[in-house]
Amino acid sequence: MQTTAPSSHAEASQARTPVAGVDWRHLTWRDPALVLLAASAVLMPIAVWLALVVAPVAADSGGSAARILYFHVPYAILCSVAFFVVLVASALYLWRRDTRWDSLARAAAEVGVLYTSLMLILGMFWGQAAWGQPWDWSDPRLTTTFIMWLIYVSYLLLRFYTGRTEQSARVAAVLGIAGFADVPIVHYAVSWWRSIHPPTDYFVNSNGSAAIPPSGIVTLLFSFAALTALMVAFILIAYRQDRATVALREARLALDVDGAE
Amino acid sequence: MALVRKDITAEVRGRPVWLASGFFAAVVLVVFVFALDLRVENKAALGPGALWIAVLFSGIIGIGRAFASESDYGRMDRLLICPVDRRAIFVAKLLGTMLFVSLVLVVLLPVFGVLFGLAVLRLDIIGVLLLGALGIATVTTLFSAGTTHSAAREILLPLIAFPLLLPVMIAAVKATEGIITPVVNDSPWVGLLIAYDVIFLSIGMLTFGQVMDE
Amino acid sequence: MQGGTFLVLAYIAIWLGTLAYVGWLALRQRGIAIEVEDVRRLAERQHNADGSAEQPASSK
Repeated sequence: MQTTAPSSHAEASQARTPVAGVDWRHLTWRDPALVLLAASAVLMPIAVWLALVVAPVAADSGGSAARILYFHVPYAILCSVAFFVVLVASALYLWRRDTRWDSLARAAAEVGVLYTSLMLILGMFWGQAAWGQPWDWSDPRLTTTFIMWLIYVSYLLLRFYTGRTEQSARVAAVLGIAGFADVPIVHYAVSWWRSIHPPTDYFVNSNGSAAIPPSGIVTLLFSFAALTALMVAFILIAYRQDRATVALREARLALDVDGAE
Repeated sequence: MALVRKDITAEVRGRPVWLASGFFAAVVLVVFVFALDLRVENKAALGPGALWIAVLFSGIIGIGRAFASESDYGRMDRLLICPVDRRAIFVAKLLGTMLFVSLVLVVLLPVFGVLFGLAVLRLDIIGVLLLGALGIATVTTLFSAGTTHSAAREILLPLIAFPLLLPVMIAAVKATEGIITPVVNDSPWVGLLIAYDVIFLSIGMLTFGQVMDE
Repeated sequence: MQGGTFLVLAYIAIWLGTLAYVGWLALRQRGIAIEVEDVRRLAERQHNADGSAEQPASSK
């Protein structure tokens, strides 16, 4: 977006412009990444305090470890969102051939893997407390989530090993699209198969009443907001870094070509 | 189609890779017999898994060949110059890969049946095997096309394909198990298998041209 | 009380994970900053070399 990296050597010679906000003096409050980070920094302590102290123990599983729910659920929703961004950005890249979409897919996949990992870690601690074991391979939701994690880790590895050719970007985009085939399955795994994992309509009892008291919902809203702001800021930062890397490569290439003449 | 015929004649004239891959798969099975301590009591439970791992391993090793031979002689470039629909190339490659996997199965199935003493030459088991093979063939064809130019393609193809194929593999193993030892109220594994085949086939048809374009 | 231990451990783990990612972003940022500096110096050197020979009309 506002990446002002040198793209030709004429610009490069006056490259005192900040790249992706590297120069703190150029950082202003008009930068959406900074605003989001600040918002998250304000919301996050409130969310943690609410989740650990104020909110009720939401589920009758694992004692107070059930408070893990207040972060586990937002992470789970947000990593699907991040992978959906990967899907859309990959499709748009194949369609428009604009490398900015490619950078967005990269950034979103990275943050998506981070969020999935954190969600899995939280889930494993909760599992240890509630089920006496961190993991259960016979459970469809755990298994499909792990497969989803594997797919996107392999996506990142593919990006790492194939460098930055147009061909590899297109292959990665196809993987970004095909990999999403697992995400809806994860979502529906609980209702399709017998599962020890609680269903996603956990917040509503079978008779339609709310399963979580209002204070629990408020806590969830706070943690969801804080983690969303953090995720968008992370994606934005990673995206700008990628744009800067691309621009720097082009600038260096242009300089080398000029120098060779 | 001419493209398929070309691949077949190349396979017939040259040293048949499918034969080697078929025996490789059989060897994998034998390894499983010892590694998992297979006995009469547990063969029905462990057999399907061993069979599918053998198919997957031999498949992934053999499938790269379909594109390696093209890229070795720069034939893919020439093929791309031809005024052929990219989708036609994809389907041709897919059919070639399917044929290859089917031939591997021809070698593998009798060996499996004898080793595990299970009646596997049944129409429903062969149907499930072909459905699973279609999924494996689609994903590997799609991604081996894209990774031919990359230096680390031998490791990259399995790295990408295995996680993507895991749901297919789970569905295929469960479906095979369900046929050998029927379970009451089993999940619709065959349905899931077909769903993944359709999803990957559509993605392949839509994006193959993008991957191949130079 | 057992559950409480797991609760605290879990939250510590995710904040360590988040911090690790921030550290990774910072590392990459530093790499980019170094590269910017590098490219800038390269550009200046080339610019000066061009200038001493004949004032070029700058590149397109």
